Amino acid sequence: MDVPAVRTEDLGKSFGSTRALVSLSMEVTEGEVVGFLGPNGAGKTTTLRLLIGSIRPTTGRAEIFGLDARREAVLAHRKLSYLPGDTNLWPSLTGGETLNLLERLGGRVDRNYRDDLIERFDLDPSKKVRAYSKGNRQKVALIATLMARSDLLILDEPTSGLDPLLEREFRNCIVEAKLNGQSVLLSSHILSEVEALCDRVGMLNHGRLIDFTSLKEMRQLTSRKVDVTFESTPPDLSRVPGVASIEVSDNSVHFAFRGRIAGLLDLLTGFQPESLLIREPSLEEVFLDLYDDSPEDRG
Amino acid sequence: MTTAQRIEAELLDVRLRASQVAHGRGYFGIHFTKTIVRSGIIWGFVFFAFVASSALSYLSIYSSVPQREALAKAFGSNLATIALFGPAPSLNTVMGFTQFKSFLSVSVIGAVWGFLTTTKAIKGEEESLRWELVLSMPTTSRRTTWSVFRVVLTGIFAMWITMSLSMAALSLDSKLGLSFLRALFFATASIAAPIVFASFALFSSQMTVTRRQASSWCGWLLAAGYILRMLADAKVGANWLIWVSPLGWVEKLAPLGAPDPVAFVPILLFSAVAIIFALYMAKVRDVGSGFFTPRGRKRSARSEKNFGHLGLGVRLFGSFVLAWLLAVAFTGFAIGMVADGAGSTMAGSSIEDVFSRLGAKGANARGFLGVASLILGVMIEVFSASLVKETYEEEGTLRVEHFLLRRYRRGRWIWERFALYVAALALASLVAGSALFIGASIGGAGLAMSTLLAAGVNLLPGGVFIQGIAMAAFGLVGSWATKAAYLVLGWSVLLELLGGISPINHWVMDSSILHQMSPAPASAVDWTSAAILVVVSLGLVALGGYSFNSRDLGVESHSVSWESLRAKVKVFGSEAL
Repeated sequence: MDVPAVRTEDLGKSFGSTRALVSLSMEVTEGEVVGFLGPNGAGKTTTLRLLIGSIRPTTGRAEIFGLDARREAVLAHRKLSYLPGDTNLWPSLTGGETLNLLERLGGRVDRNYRDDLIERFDLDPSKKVRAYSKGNRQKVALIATLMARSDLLILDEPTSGLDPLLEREFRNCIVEAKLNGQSVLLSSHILSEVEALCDRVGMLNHGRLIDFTSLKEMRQLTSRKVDVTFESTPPDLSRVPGVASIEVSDNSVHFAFRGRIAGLLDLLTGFQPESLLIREPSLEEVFLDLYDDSPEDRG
Repeated sequence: MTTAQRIEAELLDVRLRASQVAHGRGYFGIHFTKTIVRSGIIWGFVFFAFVASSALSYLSIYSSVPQREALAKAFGSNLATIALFGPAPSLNTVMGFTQFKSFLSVSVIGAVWGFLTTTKAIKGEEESLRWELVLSMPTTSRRTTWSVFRVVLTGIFAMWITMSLSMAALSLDSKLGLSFLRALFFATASIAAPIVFASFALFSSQMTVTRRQASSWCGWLLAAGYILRMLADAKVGANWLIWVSPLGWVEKLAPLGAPDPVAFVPILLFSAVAIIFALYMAKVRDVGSGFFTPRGRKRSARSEKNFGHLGLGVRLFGSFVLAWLLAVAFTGFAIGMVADGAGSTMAGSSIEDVFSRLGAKGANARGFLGVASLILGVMIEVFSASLVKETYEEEGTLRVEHFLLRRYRRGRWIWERFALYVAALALASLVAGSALFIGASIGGAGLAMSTLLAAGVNLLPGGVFIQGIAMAAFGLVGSWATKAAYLVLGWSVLLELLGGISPINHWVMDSSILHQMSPAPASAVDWTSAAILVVVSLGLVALGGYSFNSRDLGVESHSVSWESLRAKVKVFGSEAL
């Protein structure tokens, strides 16, 4: 059986009395792209830093390709590359010098790929880091992470500061990495990015994993959006089981529905609708739906 | 609090303060005035204390006319000391000696204060991007620049008030022969260098991109000015050079000697031109740029320099180390040069007893150097402590993660840092020994090179021990490193100062690192003590490496609970906490 790229078991971290991460258990398999979603302070960065061994878990353990993320950090780091959320580089070095330094420290770089990335991300490596914009600093950090072609990429807010064209280039790089058999674990606020790239998505809130599944399954578990137009005043659907968030305008009604679609269709057909549209929720709607349902948000 | 939260809080604070600009109160006025004025007052007191101690110690050490004549004979026409400290026409008087010993030193320190304060207030704010935020308010770059500089001038004014009042009080002592007007004039002359260099710093801040570059320009002007006035004073037929040096103009003011008021003209003219030009540049240049903004060259990472951890260290603080080496060399040279004369004038004076209490026996050059080299020892230890900040910054910014994610063990990172710093300290101690030798040879002390090189190397273990303490503290909590280093250093200096005044229990004195150093060359270097200090330091670094390995990285870990400390202690098999 293949060793998972990432495996956590009851992983938790507290900072004083603040519980930043609570009992996280999950796996990322080889060649899989997994996204972490969550609002600020949800525990995304804490999870990633636990995986790279920068901080010690308060409970549980994390493994990278079967190696303990903390005790066998050096061995584990041979197999991963990490992009931090806050890009801190040495201001007095040029971008090229920074890449050379990080290459030398890491000792494993595909130089042709690095040069290719510099071209693709349109980076001028002769400028000092202090002269770079935020986006350009992010480019240096991204190239440094990708150039090693590590088995596992751990990326914290990877497209922060990048323009849409470069975001697209980044997505291409992740698709290539996946085709290359690399595993990717990324945290992001950008739902479209996660939607476009990730096989599975983990949703964190207040340090707890509230869902960890494929987008397809996640959509099935959350409410579908229904728009119906009638010839006259719409019927009262508020007592129909599974119907929520009803909005009525003229002869149209919009609502969220969770349950058997066949039953809903039977019911609506009885009222002879003029038009009917049932669609799967966007990731944004799934996201909001799940957060509305999470225990912390219910208070 | 995470870095992001800290920055967010800081930005909120800046926004709140910046909004006050619109109401005419001025963000920078509020932000800086208190700090800069307080600093001006403190330095005013320090300068006064230096001047007063020079005058009063002269009265007690050189109490008889023959002693004063001997001093005047030893140094009055000594070209080497004149080149270093300025002309000494009347060393047989209290004011003549005080002028010789303190005025140039006060001016140089004041100049450094002036330019560092200005570059921090302008370029430091610009680098932190707060400047840009303020400029988004209803104000202009020129107006903001001027308002910051006004605050610096207020700080200098506070320094002048402090010095004027304290010098006026000193003039009440009739034995000193210091008139009230002379006292005020001394205070006025003492702020000439801060004004000149603060004005130049305002100018250099507009011309360069970074604060470091702006400060470097000022440092070079100070160094060039010092060398030019040295050449002018050394009577090598170039007296006119005094008029092309900012420090030469200041020296010409000679507030306790024979003042030349014409010197005020170049001082005021230079300052005014620098300020006007700086304000013009502030109007026309882009924020975050300078007149000498570097341009892009090639678009290939392969053509960029390639270096590892040690190379990165050299790149990051090479210029900082170089500046310290120059300072150590200059101080060592100056001490070496005056050793012979100072040693001979110590005989029979009260200072011989003080030196004796500090372990240096003998009223000669060796005896003088035995204690005076403590100054170099303190310098090397301050140098060592200041290097610690770099270590902490690497963690505070989480740049250390770049290493630890690339095959580096935490212990290796700490040991490599330590090795790098020890190499810099070793270089500094060798420079100290060499400079002492060169100075002593020129000054005619006649001491062997091997003796003075050994005296220099004798200073190294103290610096290494400071690193050991800092690394041990860093292992526990990153932000403790600098505090621990300066605490040990401050304690040692305090004990040495008190030990010079009156006898102190030897157990207490032994807790000073400076006391662990032999007063070489007054006595032979105690290599056993030096080796023990180094071994203890290595143990401390190992302890630091161990603790660093078992704690969290980053800003969150800077708050340490008693529980976590207790857990660390349990690891070592103790339940003491």
